[in-house]
Amino acid sequence: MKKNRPSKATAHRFYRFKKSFYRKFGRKPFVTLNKKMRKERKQKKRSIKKRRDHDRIVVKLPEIISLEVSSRSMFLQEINKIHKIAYTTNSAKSLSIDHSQIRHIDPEALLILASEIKRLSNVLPVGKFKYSKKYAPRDEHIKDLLGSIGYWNHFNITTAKHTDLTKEYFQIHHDTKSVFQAVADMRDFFEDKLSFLPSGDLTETFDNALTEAIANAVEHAYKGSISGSNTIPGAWWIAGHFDPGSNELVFGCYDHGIGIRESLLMHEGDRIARWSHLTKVRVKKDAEVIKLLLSQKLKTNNKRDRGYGTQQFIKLIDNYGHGSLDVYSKSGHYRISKDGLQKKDIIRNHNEAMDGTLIVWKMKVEREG
Amino acid sequence: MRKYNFAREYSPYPGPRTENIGPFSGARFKKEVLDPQFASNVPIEIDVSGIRLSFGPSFMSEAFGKCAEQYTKKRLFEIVRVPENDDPRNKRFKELLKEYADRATKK
Repeated sequence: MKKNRPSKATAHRFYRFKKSFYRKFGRKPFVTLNKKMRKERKQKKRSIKKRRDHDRIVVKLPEIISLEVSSRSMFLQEINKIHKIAYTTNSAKSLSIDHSQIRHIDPEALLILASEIKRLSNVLPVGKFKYSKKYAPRDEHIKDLLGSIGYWNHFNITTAKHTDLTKEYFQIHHDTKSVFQAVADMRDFFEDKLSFLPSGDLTETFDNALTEAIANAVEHAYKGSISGSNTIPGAWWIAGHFDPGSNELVFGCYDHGIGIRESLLMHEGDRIARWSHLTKVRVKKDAEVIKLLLSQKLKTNNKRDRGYGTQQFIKLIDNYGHGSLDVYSKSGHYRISKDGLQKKDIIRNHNEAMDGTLIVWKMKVEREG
Repeated sequence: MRKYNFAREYSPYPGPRTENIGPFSGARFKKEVLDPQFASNVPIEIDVSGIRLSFGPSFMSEAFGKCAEQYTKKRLFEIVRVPENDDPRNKRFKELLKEYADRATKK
């Protein structure tokens, strides 16, 4: 090995040659490699790539990212995989998330993915979790969506531009305190860009629904400790968009806390209220617990001034008249939809549980022009 | 009477119930603004025309509902006043004030 290394004088001569060549031609000289050198270089490159691949874990995101029944399990399995890797893997290994296969994303499901990315960047050391061009989405529409909704900001990338003008997105907003400016910004965004939410009554119910969802996330979602997971206490995410295909305004709030059932079991209401609701919560499944909570059949507190927050979630759909409210918490999903005078609700308990609670409002919009 | 511009002197975004949940809470507003007015017995006229976000149930019950509970509903309307003008936010605020005072003192 030592034999092949050029002497100091030779190396210096080569350095001077390169320098003068660069001065004269403004570029590096081409080096003609012989067969042996070429082979060595190839081997070196291959071993570096091998080492890099060995130290990297790649999580491949599924083609469809959605909480709909058909794709929920696949999506949540990948999320759980990311979660497991982040908290159990050797810190010497780096993690990459492969977005290349994605063909469809529901922006509300994206809130779950974005929160997981945020958690990862909090847990993994700097440099161990980063964006790689190799794993960027291939689908142009997905590229636009992720750029315009601010997904890459969670990877500390702010260069993405969006060209998809058919959909309009309010960027994902994240905080750990109930700072409500984002709610007013989202409402302004819907008003200015979409000429929507004009009446004072609807404005108030919109504000109340979202601010109460955020305040609930901060106050109730992170009670106690969650073993084996590094949550960000108080964290919440909101995002919204308008889809001209379905003519719907979609917006939601997500927290990665302990879920509605656990939170109710830990509720610090007074003793009588506590005993009566605990028995109900313990025997019911997640979806039924969500329904009980939203229909105000759980008295968690005997204080006169408490327990009005969750009413606001349904009030928005009730007041508006054409839309739906979806609440996902752990393995439960409860949907209540209203179309004029018709009101329907659906309860579903799934096999795979997600972290925390996701509340999504969908409102049918009549757009001018 | 003290004139108070809510958006300028407190915040254009009324906050949650208590300060540990988020800034500009109802509890802080009661402690810093309303309680001293009740103590000095000087009425306060709260103008909310500049706010950018509606008053939520948590803020209203913690700030004004608690005052009605603590000082009686009658004293609340003696001390807390709302400007008589055409601004829809002030009109709505007056309605909310009554609603939350009633709720807090309901037996």
